Order: sequence, then C-alpha cells, then structure tokens
Amino acid sequence: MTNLLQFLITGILVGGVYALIALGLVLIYKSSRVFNFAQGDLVMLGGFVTWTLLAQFGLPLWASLPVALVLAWMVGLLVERLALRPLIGQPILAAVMVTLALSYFFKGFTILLWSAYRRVFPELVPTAPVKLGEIVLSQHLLWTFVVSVLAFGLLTIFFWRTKTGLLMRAAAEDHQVAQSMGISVKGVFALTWSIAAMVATLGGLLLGSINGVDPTLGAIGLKAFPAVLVGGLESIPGAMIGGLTVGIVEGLAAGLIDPSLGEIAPFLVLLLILLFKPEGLFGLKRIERV
Amino acid sequence: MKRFVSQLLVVSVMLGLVVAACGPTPVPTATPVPPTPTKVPPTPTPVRTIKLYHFGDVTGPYAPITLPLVNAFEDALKYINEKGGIRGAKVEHEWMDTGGKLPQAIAAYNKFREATPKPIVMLIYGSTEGEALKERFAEDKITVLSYSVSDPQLVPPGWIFGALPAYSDQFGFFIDWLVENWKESRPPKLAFLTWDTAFGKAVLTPACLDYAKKKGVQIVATEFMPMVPVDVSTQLLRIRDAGADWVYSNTLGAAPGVMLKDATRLGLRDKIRFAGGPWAMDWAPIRVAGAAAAEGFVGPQSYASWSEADNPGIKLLSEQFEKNKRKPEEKALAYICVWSGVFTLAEAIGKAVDEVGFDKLDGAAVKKAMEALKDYSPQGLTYYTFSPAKHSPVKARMLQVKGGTLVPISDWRVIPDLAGK
Amino acid sequence: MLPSGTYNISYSQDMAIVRTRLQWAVLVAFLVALFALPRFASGHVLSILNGIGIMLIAVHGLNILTGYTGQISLGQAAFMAVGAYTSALLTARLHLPFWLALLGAGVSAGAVGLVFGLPSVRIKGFYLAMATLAAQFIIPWMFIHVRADITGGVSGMVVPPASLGGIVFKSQESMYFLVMGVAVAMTFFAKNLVRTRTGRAFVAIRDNDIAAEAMGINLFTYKLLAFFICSFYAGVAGSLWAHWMRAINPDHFTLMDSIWYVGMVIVGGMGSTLGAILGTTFLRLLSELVMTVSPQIGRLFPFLAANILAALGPMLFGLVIILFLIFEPRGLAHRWEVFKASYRLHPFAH
Repeated sequence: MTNLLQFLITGILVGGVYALIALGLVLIYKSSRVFNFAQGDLVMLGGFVTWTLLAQFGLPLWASLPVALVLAWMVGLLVERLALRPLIGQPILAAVMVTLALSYFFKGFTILLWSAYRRVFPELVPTAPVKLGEIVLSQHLLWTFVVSVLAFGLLTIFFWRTKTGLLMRAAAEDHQVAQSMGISVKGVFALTWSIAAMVATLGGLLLGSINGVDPTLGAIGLKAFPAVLVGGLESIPGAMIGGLTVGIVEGLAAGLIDPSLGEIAPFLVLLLILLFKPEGLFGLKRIERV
Repeated sequence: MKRFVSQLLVVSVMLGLVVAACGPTPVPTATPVPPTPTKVPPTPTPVRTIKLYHFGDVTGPYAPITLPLVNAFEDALKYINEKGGIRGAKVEHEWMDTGGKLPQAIAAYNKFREATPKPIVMLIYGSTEGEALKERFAEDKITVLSYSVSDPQLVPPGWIFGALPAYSDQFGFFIDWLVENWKESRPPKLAFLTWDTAFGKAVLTPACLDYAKKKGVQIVATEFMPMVPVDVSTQLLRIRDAGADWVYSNTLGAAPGVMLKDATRLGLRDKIRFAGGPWAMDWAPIRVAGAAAAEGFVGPQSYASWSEADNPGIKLLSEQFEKNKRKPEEKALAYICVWSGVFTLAEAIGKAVDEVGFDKLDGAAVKKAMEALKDYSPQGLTYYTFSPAKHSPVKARMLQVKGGTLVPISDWRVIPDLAGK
Repeated sequence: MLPSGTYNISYSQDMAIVRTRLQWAVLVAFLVALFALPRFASGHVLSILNGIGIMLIAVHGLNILTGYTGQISLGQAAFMAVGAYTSALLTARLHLPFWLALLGAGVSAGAVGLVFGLPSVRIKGFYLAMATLAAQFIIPWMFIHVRADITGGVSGMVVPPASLGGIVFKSQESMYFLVMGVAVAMTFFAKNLVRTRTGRAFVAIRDNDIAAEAMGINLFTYKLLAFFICSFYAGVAGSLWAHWMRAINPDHFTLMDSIWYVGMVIVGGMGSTLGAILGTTFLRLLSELVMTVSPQIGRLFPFLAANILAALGPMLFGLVIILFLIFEPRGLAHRWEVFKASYRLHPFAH
C-alpha cells in the first residue's frame, strides 16, 4: 500500500514537469495551429541559460530567474519574427517543419555555446527528503510541482482576467474574426511564442535543478507529446491533467506491472482515450459542415 | 525579379549540395612552409602521413560522452607528432559527425574508405554502427578500434578491437569481486537497474546470468530506467522490495548519478550497495549525484583514474591537459580512453611498419600487430592484450568513488571471459 | 501549362504523363544515366544514393497517405521496422527466397499499418499524427520484448544479403541496381496510382472528407487503403534496408526518422511524386553536406574547439531548412512547376 502511494505521488510530481512542457506546446498550438517540435529544445536552452546565470555569473535565484525569463521572452519574439511570421498564410505543415528545423538549430547553438557536458546547478533546494509517513519525496520534485501549478494558475488568471488574455483567446478562436475586430493576430502569435519560451525556461530551470542540463534534455519534449493529446491540443487545463495522467500511468505501469512498460504505457492510454474521445479529454470539438 | 532570384537560389543550393556531397574528399592543403631564406636542405624526404579516421555520434543523443573525444584526439596526436610521430611518419586524424543516424554512419564509412591516404585503421564509438559495419570492415581489411564493446562486435572476432574489456567480461569481474568480498553466510542478492537498450542489456546475456548463478549470486530483480531519467524512485523501491543487496547498472552519463541520488534520498544506501559498468565509472555521475551521494559507488574499469597522481600516464595527461588549456569538465574518462587508444594504435602501427615497411603497410599488418600485443601498457593508463581469438582487453580493476573522485580498490587482474558465450 | 504547340485532342492525350518527344528523350536519358552511374561513381556516392533510394520508397508511401489523402503519420519508420524484421525473419530463419521476403515485408507492414490506421476513421490532423506516434513507440517495444528469442531483442538480427536468381547483392554497386530497380518501379506505381479512381478518391478525402463522403466515397475503406499502401511502401523499404545493412536492431527505426520522412514530404511538396523524389534527395544531401562541413572547417581553422565545429552541422542543417521554407513553403515540386511555367511562357509574363 505504501508502495502504491509512493508510485502514485512520484508519478504525480513527475507529471507536473511533463505538464509544464505540454503547456508550451498547447499555447502555441492553440493560437497558431502549429505543433512545436522545438519545445523540448527550448526547455534545454532555458536550462543552459539559467545555469549560466546561476553557476557562472553566480547570481542568486531571485535575480537570475527574471533575467532568464526576459531572455526567453526575447528568444520567443525573435523566433516568431524571423522563422514563423514569414510562413503565416502558408501551409501549416511548412510551419511545423520549421519548428523541427529550429530544434536542430537550437541543439547546435547550445553545443556551440556550452559544449555538451552535463552542467549541474548549484543547490537551490535542500537535498534532504520530505517524509510523509513511509512515503519519501524529493524536495526538488515537490518544488517543481508547486512551481508548475503556480505557473498554470498565473497563466489561467492571465487568460481569463486580463485584456491581453482576452485578445489571445479571441485570436485562438478564429483568426479572421479576431483580425476584423482589430486584434493584431501577428502580435498575438509573437506573444504566444514569448510565453511558450518563458514557460520552457521555467521548465529548464526546474528540470536542471533536479539532475543538471545537457543537450539530451531536449528529448524530454517527447514525454509531453502523449500528455497534450490526452488532455487535448487546445486546452490549458488539459495540458495539466494530461501531464499528470502521463506521469501517473508511467509510474504505476512501471511500478506495478512491468518496469519496461513505463515508456509505452502512456501511449496505450492515449490510444484508448482517442478511441472514445477523438479530441482528447478537454480538446475543442469542432462541428464540421460542408 | 524576386521570383527569379529565389529560383536561382533554390537551383544553386540544389546544385551546390550535389557537388558538395558527391565530390571527392578535398585533398588537405599542405601546411604553408615558413620561407627559409638561406639554406635549402638538399632533397627533403617526403613526410609520410598516417591518418586515423573516426566517425560517430558527436551531436546526437551520446554527445555528452562523445564530444570530448574529439578534443582529446587533437591533443594526443599533437603529442605523438611532437615526439617524432610513428617511426617518423606524421599522424593526423579526420572525423565525421553522424548525429546518431545510421545511414550517415554508413556514408561516412564509405567516404573514408575511399579517402587518400587509404585507411588502415579507424576508430568508432557507437555499437549500432559497429555491428552494422562489422562485415564491411572485414571485407575492406580495415582494423578498427571501438569504444563501445558490445558482444556482437567482438565475437566472433573480426577486424574490430575493443578499447576496453567487453561489458559482459567486466560484469563477470564484478561478480568475482562481489563474491570475494561477501562476508555473510547467505548468498548475495543482485538486482539490475539499467537501460532497455543494447548497451544497457549487454550484461543481461545468458552467459552473464549463468556466471552469476554459478558463483552463487542470486538475481532478484531486473528494472529499467529511461535514458535521461527524471526520477527512479519507483524502480528503486521495487528493488528494495525484492530484497537486493547490490544493484548493477550498465549505463552512463547522468543516469547512474540520478540512481545514486534517488537511492540516497530514499535512505537505501545503508541496505543496498550500488555498482556501475565501466562507462558509469566516470566523473559525470559523480557531478550529477554530488560527491556525498556518489560516495561508495563501485564498478569495474580498465583505465587509470585521474586521482592516481603517481601513475606515469596520468602525470603525462595532466601536463598535456594543462598545456592545451582544456576545461575542467573534460577531465573525465573520455580523455584517458582516447590517449590510451591512440598510443596503442601508434604502437601497433609502429610494429607493423617494422614488420612490413611503410610501403606495404595495410590494415592486415596492423591487425596482426594488434593481435600480437601482450600486456602492452600505454604509460600505465591501461593494459591491452589481444589475440586472434579475443579482440578485447582482458585486464581491469575495481574502482570506487571516494571524496568525489575515483580511486582503485583492487589490483589489475585478468577478468572472466564471458563475451558472446 | 503545356509546352507551346502541344494541344489536347483526345482524352488519352490529356491523361498522358509524357507528352513530347523531348520529354521521352529526357526520361529515357535519365533512366539510362541512373543505371549507368555505378560505372562512374565511387562507393561513397553509391552508398548515399542507396540510402536515398530506400528512403524514397518510404517517402513515396507517406506522400500517398499525407500528401494525397491528407492523413499525417508519424509512424513510417516503425512500419519500416515491421518490413525489415519480416524480411529478416523470412530469409534468415525460414530461408525463403528474397523476392518472397520483399513481398511479405510489404504485406505484413501493410497489415500492421491497417491496425494503426483504424483510429484515422475517427480522428484527424495532429491527433491522428499522435495516434500513429503510438505505433512508433509500441512496435519497436514489441520487437524488443515479445519473443526476443526470435527477433534478437535489443541486439537485433543478422540478415543475409539479398539474392535473386543466383545473383547475390553484397556490394554497394550491386545493391544500387536492386534499390534503384525497386525504387523506379515503386515510383511508377505511385505516379500512376494517384491518377486512378482510387487516387482521385484520396485527393477528395484530403480536400474535404465530408464532401467526399457525400459524393459516395467510402471514407473507411479509402482511408484504410491509403494506410495500407503507405505501410506497404514502408515495408518494402524496410526489407531493402535490412538487406542493405545486413544487420538490424530496433535502434535503426527511430521517431526522428519518422518525423524526417514527413519532413521530406513537406520540403519536396505535398501531393507530388516528383516532390517526394526532390525532398528526399534534398534533405539527404543536405545532411550529408553538413556532416562533412565541420571537419573541413576544422582543417582550415585548427584552433577552434571541437564543440564549435560539431555545432556547425546541426545549426547549418536547421538554418538551411528554415531559409528554404521561408522562400518556398510549398516545396520543391511547386518551385519546379513555377519554373517550368515561366520557362514555357517566356518572354511573356502570363
């Protein structure tokens, strides 16, 4: 029983990390219908940037996090302006392809600046574990989870309580209608990419503080793929629930059934969910008419 | 106009690609000789060059391990050339990145195969390409030193030589060591926590499992973790519940570090002891886990450690490391591996030259010289013994993490032969 | 846009692919050049071309599914794995002749493709892409874990060289004839398939599936048929791959490969047989180029550290593709059409 609880809670905590990466994917897909294959690499890049600020420049966390987020915001703007804006109005798949090319570019860029060694963060959170009865939890993972939930909360407030959030929701609904209401859809795309890059940097910081960063960190993006689908490509709460589901399924399948099943169990669940709810749990169901 | 320009651009890019990809390897431009104003030496003898070709995944999933290899090659060859090269011949290297893609590795091999000077030796660092190209190496008679020693590359012996003892052999050594140091009356219980890949499972062969059984070691669990794990507490708890005394992990990079860190957090370290395969006996896992959590991690290793200041090889490498201004992160296993490999190849090529002369030097001659190496030790960095029947070294030691670095805890000894059985 | 002086007088003329004498001459010259190449090319060039030929077959299949039918699949490499393993098992374990294994590889991959194509009846777009992504994870997992005694698990299998009627295809040169022979045949089939009733049904589904259904096209049948054909192509490509490598393991068929097959379709131009050829060639040559560029630069500037050199490869690769797509988001085949039209209209603008 304690084991079951431990598997479950570890799964939930790890799922929080997946959710944060899934959030970036959902934001971009929701606004521009582009599936961003470079999200994992943005996480990696963000991880390296925060590492540089924390370890090389020796800045404290409260100073380096805002600097890293501002840098990420600029990266997001640049990527949107230089690589994706020229493709507005062109086939969506061409833009998807660009994100794939971006992922190679980012990987090369990271190796150029930081080489390929694993960089370990200075201690941000005490390593001592948290004990709940028999259940032992990592403080890192716990903090990661808390920060993920906070980020989700902040973004939800942003989307539902601010005017910019309203504009973004309107633009996500229908580009043409939004445009005719005087909303700059291009501006919304730029903002989306900036937010996605900032979320990725946050993810990079959290993941990096657990086990360090190296260029292989970009592969974590793959974990978010089933998460977004389970939750639905267009739903922000869906990203959270999808991420948690994937974490839990992975943990339980590996813990209770077969250790090698952990990697594919999320996909089996994904297939099942898509069979009954083709648009994911919270995705937008579009009614089509000829 | 704009359309024309973009058309021209696309067409020229396509043409450029075809020419660049299919064109012959550009002959290296001769290094400009500083003008000698006064005496010109009479009939300068042509400087012979021997080229080491190596290719592998430098920017893909294994980049953290393989990228440092390239700098190490640069330094090692510079040193050898300063010392007069191989029997007076200059040694150069040419490398190619495959990004972890197999078709690219095949193409790289075919490119080097036709390069001038004709390749006699190559170095590779990926098992997938090694296994796919094993037959081609034999057909083309090219001697290959491989840094990934999976059984199919080494058994039956072809033209590939292992730069370190086979993973299965080293596991056998670990079992020997474990049994010798086992104090209790009940048999020791061993669990695996490894990768679900060819590399991770190289110690799960029937020969390895039988050997453990024969030595009275009970295998109680086999768990797998992702290549880049976030948290492995689930796997560790299953191992605890299986009642394991020891865990063996044939992984590398961050993975062993994550395992040690999570095990420490779960408070398992006083009940269960942890061991890793040869590539886990590196400095990266220590950095990831932190020196405190990594303390006591053991494993077989066939190379000297940076901590052995009085080892002549390590002394030399430390000097060279400073001289070439390498970064502290590069002070890891890869640097030692490459130097040992280059020294060994230089030794074998030198012997082959003595035997057949420069003009007849080919892969077969080097292979023969390699197979004749008995207990060859490049400045004490490692021990290489090859024979026509066994193409991987046979000596290793146990290392242990102490105070944030690796220190030997046993003598060099001949390890069991389990590869490919 | 027809060349000047060429008119459609009959239906068969309208449908013909090759219209003028010049086109016939170019086609024949291309085929002769293609099969005469091994006499002049080095093994390195041939090994690149063999790789392109095999990928081309897989990309043709994907182009039928994605380019013509509009269903995105991220599982093409997994279906190739099915073909490769079938072929390896049939030749190495059951000692069946190669041609039978090639066919069997196509059929078995097609059958597996059908299973993973089933969700396409209900789901669309990126949701479908992700359902096929599941194939990319589940299929290699099964090769590792289910009956590892037959498939060799993670270490894979050794595959005998292909042989047809006494000829053993061992060298790059002989393999080239086999690969190109199959690739030409598969190209011919792909080009003609899309001109049949089936092909038009595929295009109708892509353009508007509800309208297509209203016109009497059975979505279920045709979507699954597209999946079958796509995976059949992948299976054939996988079989050739296995006999080309002569050793296979699940690492040969990764998600990245699957994604790049989609990339080749996009860069070449969706829904164009020529596009599949151009896209495959372009991306493969590009990656070949960036692979050679770093060591060359290293020779020119020996003081650069390894990480800077190694970084150039992926950076250049990404950059060229981004620039290319910004200039030509509709793919190489589209650019070729534009080029042809402006050539035929010269000196007039329209």
